[in-house]
Parts: sequence; structure tokens; C-alpha cells
Amino acid sequence: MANAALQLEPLHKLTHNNGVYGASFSLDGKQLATASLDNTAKLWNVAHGQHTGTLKGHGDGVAFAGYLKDGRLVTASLDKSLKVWSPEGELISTMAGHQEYLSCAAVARTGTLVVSGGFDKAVRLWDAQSATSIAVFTGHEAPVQTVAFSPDATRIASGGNDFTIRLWDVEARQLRKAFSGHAETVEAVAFAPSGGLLASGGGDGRWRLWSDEGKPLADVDSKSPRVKSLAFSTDGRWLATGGSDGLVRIWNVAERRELFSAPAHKNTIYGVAFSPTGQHLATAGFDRTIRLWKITRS
Amino acid sequence: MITLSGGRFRLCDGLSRRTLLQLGGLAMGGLTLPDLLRAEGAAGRKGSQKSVIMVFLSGGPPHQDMVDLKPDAPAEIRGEFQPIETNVPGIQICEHLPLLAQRTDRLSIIRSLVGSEGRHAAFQCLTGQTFAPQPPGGWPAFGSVVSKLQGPVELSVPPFVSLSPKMKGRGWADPGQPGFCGQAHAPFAPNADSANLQLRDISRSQLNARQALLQQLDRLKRDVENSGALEGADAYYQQAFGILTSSKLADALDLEQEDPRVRDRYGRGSPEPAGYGDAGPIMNDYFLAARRLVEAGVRVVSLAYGRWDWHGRPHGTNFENARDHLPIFDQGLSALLDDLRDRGLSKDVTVLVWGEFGRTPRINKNGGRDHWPQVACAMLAGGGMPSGQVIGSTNKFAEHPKDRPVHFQEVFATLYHNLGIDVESVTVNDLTGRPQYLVDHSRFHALPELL
Repeated sequence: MANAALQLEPLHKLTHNNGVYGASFSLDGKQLATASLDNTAKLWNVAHGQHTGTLKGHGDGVAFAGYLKDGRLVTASLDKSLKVWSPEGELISTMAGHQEYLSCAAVARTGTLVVSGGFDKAVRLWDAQSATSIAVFTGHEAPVQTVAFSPDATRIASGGNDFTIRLWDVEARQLRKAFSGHAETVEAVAFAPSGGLLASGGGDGRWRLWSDEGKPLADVDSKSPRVKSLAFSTDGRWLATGGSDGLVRIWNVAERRELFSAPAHKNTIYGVAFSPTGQHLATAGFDRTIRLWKITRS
Repeated sequence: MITLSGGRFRLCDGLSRRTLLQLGGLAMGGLTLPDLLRAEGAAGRKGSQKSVIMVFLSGGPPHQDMVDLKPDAPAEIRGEFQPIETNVPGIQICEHLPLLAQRTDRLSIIRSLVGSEGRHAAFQCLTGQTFAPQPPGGWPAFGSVVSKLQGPVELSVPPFVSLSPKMKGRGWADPGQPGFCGQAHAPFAPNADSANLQLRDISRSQLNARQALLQQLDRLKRDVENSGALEGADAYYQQAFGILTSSKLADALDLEQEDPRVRDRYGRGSPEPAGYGDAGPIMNDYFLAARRLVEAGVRVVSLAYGRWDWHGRPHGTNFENARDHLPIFDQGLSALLDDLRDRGLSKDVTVLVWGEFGRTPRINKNGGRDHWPQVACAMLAGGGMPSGQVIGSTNKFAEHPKDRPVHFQEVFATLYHNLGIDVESVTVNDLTGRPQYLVDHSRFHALPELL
């Protein structure tokens, strides 16, 4: 642990019955949705750590659970489908199209767009409102492990087992640029909230910064053998990383410097997420737990 | 299945934990308690009580990541784990099994198990035989053979209990078929959910109040008679409830009666299916229940534990899954070994732990290891056997035996030996009346290292 300016204070320890693949806050930061290999997504009250609901219906592990702007939820599963749920947890619709395992997904901060990636090497764009497929982006030469929307939802970044990162133009529905740098699988990508920056984490244990056009800006040793998850803070100043060593680390993005680290999980950290309010961080691990942290600054 | 209800923990379906203390669910073709009683009627108490606890690690545990690490192999073979010293000089096992490392003096580790038929199923680990061909009636599970040959220790306690729960992976859920031993020797399978009678309004405490029970049974009987479900029931039906009203079996299965500190030592575990709903739970309570059952007089207890079929992403890498399973398995098995020792059962109770095959030496592109029938591992303890030893070895990449290959049937021959059954001479007739040896005795014998 280091740095008096930033601390993570353990708030709640939440559990699933199998590895947890991701965590997402609601837009007001009061709710948390978690996705697990136990075939469910769970909903939690952030302040009290209370379990408020379980989304059941997928036939395989759930790789992603997240909130749309209107409060509805989207889940994406290894069973090759995505599901849209009401805020109360009622199933609204199911979208399917991937030909092999669906491994990752993301929702746009605005609107109802959803993107998913899979072992079929495809990146698929969906409209959760109409529950329809909008586009299929092909070009990856191996399974896709991570996808992310740019803040304005005009671009999608994807990465995977072909070691490349690809930028897709949502409007034109075509590849904008492909680039590489990681020496292993690209495990995680995230756009900075204000745009302009893209971060990636790799199986090579490094995290990288790129311009949103793919220009390399930084290459940093994460200190973990494998980076599996990363997320920008709401103000874009910090980057949280999680990896195979079970430690959560917070980095100063501008200085590429580690600010804080703490043992968080007994297994790989598959997901990290800052709350929109900037008050909390969630980490999701293969150790079946989600840790909710309160962010304090001196 | 008959379910005793009442209790403390609420589950998602509104039932309590005690509600799920299920008695009477006999697996395999709808075997009923009266079938068991018929077998009991022909048997009676026999001999001293030697018993076997068989732990099936569903899916094929990675031998090279548990008890046969190869730290000098290339990274794509040796994997992520380091070996640690055990309390037996010269024997090393995985760093994620530290409690068993402290108890290796009570273990025999087989590193060269061969003869796997490569099927994703419990069948070979339960019978010692390959699935095909089978003699008329089918190969019986080890516990069914023991039931046939030795009968129950007590009339109210079945000789063979399978704790394997219902799973989507039916080959893993197999509680053990009675085969040519006959349905009377099918396992009592309290978790199998294979029968259809439920007494959901009877609590454990009510069970002791026979009057209340009988009233409940009468009501149930009227209900099912009205539905036609009891047509053909015979006098053994009444006796069947003798087992239920006998406290011994119920007590053995009621872990609420156990000191909570003991349950904590075992690690409790989760009743939810491991993996993705297709495998058994990582339920350390099963280890404790097994100990309680053999103490109550059960001769053979089998159980399926966890999901060990780790092909890799997107279901987590082999090593992520191992980090998940190994520590709690380490705790549960260690607690069982300690408990058996502390209760003076180590000489009488044989514990066997294994899976249907090993895993590929080379880590695949998804961080997993695939099926590898060429070699596997097993652990044995108790039974009065010599321990603190490794039997057999593999080559430098754990691909195949280097010396002393041990066949599945040699392990079964050893189990039979520990129960006083001579595989050289004992036979059981199949359905055509042809005598069948319990193992291929012309080739396989009890392991001399364990005698």
C-alpha cells in the first residue's frame, strides 16, 4: 500500500456461487449489478451491500451485467445470448447471434446500444430497445475478449486473442483502425470518460495508453502477471487495474504512476468499476466475491 | 424421495435447509425402500465394520497441478503452481494443498493411474469396469457388490449410500448402478431426487413423535392412494418407514446435530452446483456426512465433489479453477482424515479420492488442460494401509507412467481386500447365472504397497 492521497476502504464483501466476471454501477451509483459464472447476475444496494435481486435465465455463465441509461439492465452470457431486463428484474427480451461463446459486452453510456464480443471472433452491435442486431464487425482473427464504447458511443474498441486492438466506427459500421502492442491476449479495453484516450490491459502483464486513434502513448508494467480488467475513474485521472495476482491497483494516468494497491481477491480480478459518483470502486474476482470499496482522499 | 421439513435456513425456493434433509430417495430405476428391506431381510449383521469412502472429483482433476508437479518442465507444461514440501521427506505436492501436505504421512499418492476409458462419467470410478461391453444386468457399482456380499451392518442402515446429488451432467451424477447385483443393492441416494414421495410437512423434531408421523403418513397414503400412485405397494411399504423412523440414519444425515465447530473445520461448502449448473457442489458437508454414515454402519459411501473439467476460458483457466477448488478441497479432505484418526476409525475406513482421467500435459490456448486418459492420480488413506508414500511416477512432462503403472482395477482389488473380500475367489453371478469376478483377477491384484 502506498500514497496518502488515495485510499480504498473495504466497504462490503458480496458473493456469488462461482467466479464473478464483472460489476457495473447504475447511473446514480446506488445499485450494483454483478455477473457470474454461476449463470446469474445479482443486483445489490451499494450503501448497505444488500442483495436486492437475482437475474436467472441464462444457460451458462454470465460474462456481463450492466445498466442502460433508463435503468433497464442488460446481461450477456457464455450461452451466446444477451438479455434485457426491467429494473425490477423481469425479462424483457433476448438477443442471440454469436456462433460460439459470448465472452464480453458493454453498454453505451447514452441511448440503448449494446456491443458484444465472442469466441466466434465477431463483434456484434445491438439495439436493446428493439432487441435487434444492428451490425456484425468481423476482422479479429481469434476470440474477442473485451469490448468498450467510446463516451459518445460513436466508436467501439475491441481486443482479444489475436493480440490486436480494433477500433470500429459505429455510424459507418466499419473498421476504423487496427493496431497492436501487447505481446499476449488483449484482456481489457476502456475509453477515458472525456474521450481522447484509450487504455488496454494484456496477458503480458502490461497496461497501455493510446490516443483514441490508436497512437501509442504509454506502456506500463502493471506488476501483475496478467491484467484482466481496467477502468477509468469518472474524472479520468485514475486508472484501476485488476489481474491474476488478485491485487487492485490505482494508477495516476497522467504520470503513469501507481498510487495505491491492495490485496482484494484470492484469484484473478475479472472486473473493476468506478461508481459514477466517484465514491466507490467495485472489484469482481474469480474467488466468487465482489469487493465494494469506499474511495477516500486526503 | 421423502423430505423432512422444518428448520432454520431459507432457500430461494422457500424451503429450509432442513427441508432438504431428504431420506428415501433411492436411485436407479425407482428402487424403493421396500426393495432395500427385502435385501436386509436376507442379510443381517455380519462381521466387523470395515468401510470405504469414495470421493469422485467430477470431470478429471489435473494430476500435474495437484500431486505430480513438474517444476522443471517448460512453462506451457508446468503451469502456474509451485510444489511444496510435505511432512514426508522427498514428497512434494501443490502449493494450494498445504493442509494435505501436512498430512501426507497418512496418504498414499498414486501418480501413475492407468486404464481410464476416457469417458466423462463416474462409471469407471464406481465400478472399476469400462462402460462397454457389460455383462447381462450390467456391471454393479463397488458399493452394490459389497451390499450383495456383506449386507447391511444393521437392518435400519443401508450398506451403500451415495451422496451424489442431482446434476445436469448425468454421467457425473451417477450414484452407482446395482447392475447384476439387483435393484435391492442400489445405493440409498438421499440427494438423487429420483423418487417421488415428499412429506414436506414433517419436521425433524416431529419425526421423533411417531404419532404425528403416522398421522402424516396416513394422510399421505390416502392422498397417493386416491391418485393411484400406491397401486401394487406391498407389506414392505410399512417397513420402509421403519428406516425413516429409526433415528440412526436420519441422525447420520442430520448435520445440524454435529458440533458447529466440527462443521467449520470441514469447511461446510455450498449446496449450489459447481461449475455452470452441470456438476456437483463443492460441499464439504459431504465429507462430514460420509464420516457420520460410516460410523452409523454404512459400508460404502460415495460422493461427487465439485467440477474439475477445466478446459479453460471463457470458463476460467485451469489455474483459476484450481485456485478456487483446491483450497476448500484441501480443507475438507484434511478434516476428514483428522476426524477419522481422532475417532479411531483410520484402520477401518478406507478413503479413496480420484477422478475419471488426468489432464493434458500441455496447457491449451485457452489456459485450460484437456482430457488425458493416459495417466491420472489417486489418493488413498486409512484402511490400515501403509501410508506416507508415492506409488508410481510419470515421465518429465507427466504424460505417461515412467514406472509402476497402477490400473483402476488394482485400486478396486485393494478396496475389496480392505473389506475382507478376496477378489481371487469371490464371484457374483450375472443375470445369466454366469459367475463374474469382481476384477480381472488374472491381471489385477490388491496393491502390494498398500497391504
